[in-house]
Amino acid sequence: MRSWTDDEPGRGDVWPLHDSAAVLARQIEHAADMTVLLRSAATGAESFWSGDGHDAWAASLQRSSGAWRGLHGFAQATRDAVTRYAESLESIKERAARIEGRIEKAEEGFALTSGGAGSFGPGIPLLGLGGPSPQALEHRAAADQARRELQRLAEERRGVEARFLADLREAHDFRVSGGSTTGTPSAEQWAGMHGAGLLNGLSALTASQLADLLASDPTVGQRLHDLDPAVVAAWWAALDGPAPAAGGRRQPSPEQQALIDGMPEVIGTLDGVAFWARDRANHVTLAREITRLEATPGVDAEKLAALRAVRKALGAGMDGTPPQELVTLSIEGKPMAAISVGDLDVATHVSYIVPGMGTTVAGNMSAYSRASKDFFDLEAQVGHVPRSELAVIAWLDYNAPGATEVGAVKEDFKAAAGGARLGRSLEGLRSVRSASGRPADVTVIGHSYGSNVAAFALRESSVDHAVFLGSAGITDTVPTAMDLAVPRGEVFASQGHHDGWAPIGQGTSGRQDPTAGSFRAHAFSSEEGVDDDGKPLAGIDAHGPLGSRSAEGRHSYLDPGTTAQYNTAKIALGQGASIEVDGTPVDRLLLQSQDRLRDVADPWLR
Amino acid sequence: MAEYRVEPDCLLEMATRLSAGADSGPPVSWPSLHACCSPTCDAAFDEVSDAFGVAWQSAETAVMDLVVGAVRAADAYREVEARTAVEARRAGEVAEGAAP
Repeated sequence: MRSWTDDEPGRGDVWPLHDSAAVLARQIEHAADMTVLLRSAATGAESFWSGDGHDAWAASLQRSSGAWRGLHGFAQATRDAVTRYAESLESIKERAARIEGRIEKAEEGFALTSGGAGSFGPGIPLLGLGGPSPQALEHRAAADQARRELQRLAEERRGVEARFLADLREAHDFRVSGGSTTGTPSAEQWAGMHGAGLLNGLSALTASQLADLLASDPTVGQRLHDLDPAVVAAWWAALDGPAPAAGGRRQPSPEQQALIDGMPEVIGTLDGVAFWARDRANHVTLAREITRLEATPGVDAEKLAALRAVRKALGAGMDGTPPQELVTLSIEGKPMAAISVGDLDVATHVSYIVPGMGTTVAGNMSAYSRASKDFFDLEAQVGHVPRSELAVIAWLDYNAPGATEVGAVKEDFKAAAGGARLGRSLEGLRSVRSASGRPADVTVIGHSYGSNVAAFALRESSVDHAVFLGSAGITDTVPTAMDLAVPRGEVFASQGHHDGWAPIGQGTSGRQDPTAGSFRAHAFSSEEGVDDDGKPLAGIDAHGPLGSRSAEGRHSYLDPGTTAQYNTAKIALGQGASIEVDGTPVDRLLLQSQDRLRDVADPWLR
Repeated sequence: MAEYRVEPDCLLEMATRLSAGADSGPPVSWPSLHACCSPTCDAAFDEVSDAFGVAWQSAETAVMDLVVGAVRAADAYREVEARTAVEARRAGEVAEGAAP
């Protein structure tokens, strides 16, 4: 093939790239299979072979296993590079074809309107008598403009090829730096490692080597967190040991154990790592940090209180019924955490509860874990779903505005930052489940300011259902529900007419009420009602989201026995379409008017 | 003193599994990108492809070495086992002959 040129930036076939990606995919799979096979051979051989011969053979096997892991990363990084290049090239080809079409059309137009006079080449003057007609000039200008666009596309293609070359180099270098055949990389090599190279290099180290590396180069953690969760998920899955027996719990492979022990703060918060492993790593961090803080009483009492709250909320953890996982734990600064009720690696229906202002780990972790458990129980009951298929996350992993930070509630910056964290968590969940071949049906439930956090996250990260409860307003960057990455008809919103805080949040910030018709969500009732079996449900009489266990015994959105909680559970189970549209601003206004009339009439009727 | 133990049947079974695994791999070469990118990219891809091919073949060879090692260990064990059995029989015969 002739190479592409500035005049033809769209030249070239895409199919060889797709063919290469397909071959690489088979090689990635085979390398992963070989890693598992070798690991299983190593474990098996220990039970029937011992002695010097075995020891030498096992050492060779370890090197061989490292080589296959290396090939896995090499192929994966190359496949990613090829796929990215193919996508970019397809886009360039498509745009180039359109631009070339415009040039052709403009040339034809010029020929028709100029009476055939003069050349049409850029920069060559027209020689026709009396000059070209205005129409012809327009066609020429259009063609020149299109040619300039073609030039820009050529620039873009040069950039895309440069990136492809850099990606290929990185894929190749990874084998040199991360492969098992060349020994441990130097500090300089570690500092220059990214992507699959970094991941595969790390999985060849022991726990103490990992801890030393992290201590000497803290940027390693950040570089890992910058990776695409899908890349992390594929890497982690390739490190898996043999699958557990039915009903058994997954055990880490030696490489995974080393990573959990050597850098628990990183592995516990790394999106794309399987949740059972994150739970283990976060438990290591939690225990270690509590011990450290207890050894120096009074130094950071607030942090210690938060971590103790996490420990208390976790109960028996994965040994409990239902099991609870410490999904994430950040101990830098004010602690942030998320706890799941149910097993996130296997649950079919996964819901995130995103709280609003004034929420802290120290003050609210237990209450939100309880709310998650209540919601989990209700889902099992409403959907007749086995509990093993459910998981609900109390997601307190963002820096919510404080209870008195009225200014911050009006602003969007904390919601935007929280939304970015939530989005990444959602990507991590999707990647882990995609790597294990068990996709999940995901719901995000945002309460109050948390609904704005959810909206920011769902601009990019897709989920199956979204619910906004007592919203303190949705950012204007999401003009309608249609602008969220949620299937049409699966964005829901509710606000009780006794909720006094939601309208204040919306009014002071100028953000949108998601129950308003203009937002185009499915509004539903949070007032008194009955469930599908005719059992009465309470209406909310507090912004909450949790009120029934308070001294006043009030009800809010996530309390058991409320219409709001019941409808939200149905939505999370994919039954939202059957919920009656209700609870719009007009509906609330009518109810508030009736309340006032009753207040006025009551003394007269007594 | 180190404890020596070998179960040759298990060893051979494991060697068979490893060998089958190594044999089941896809082709190692990648299609050329000659038809879709600049000569520079094409050459770079070829270079990476060659490096990958070398590493892949070396990893496959290493697995086959493991297979050979396991089979040799099983064979050596069986050979010694057979020899030991013969010697034990001879020892029995000698003892029988020496008996009054």
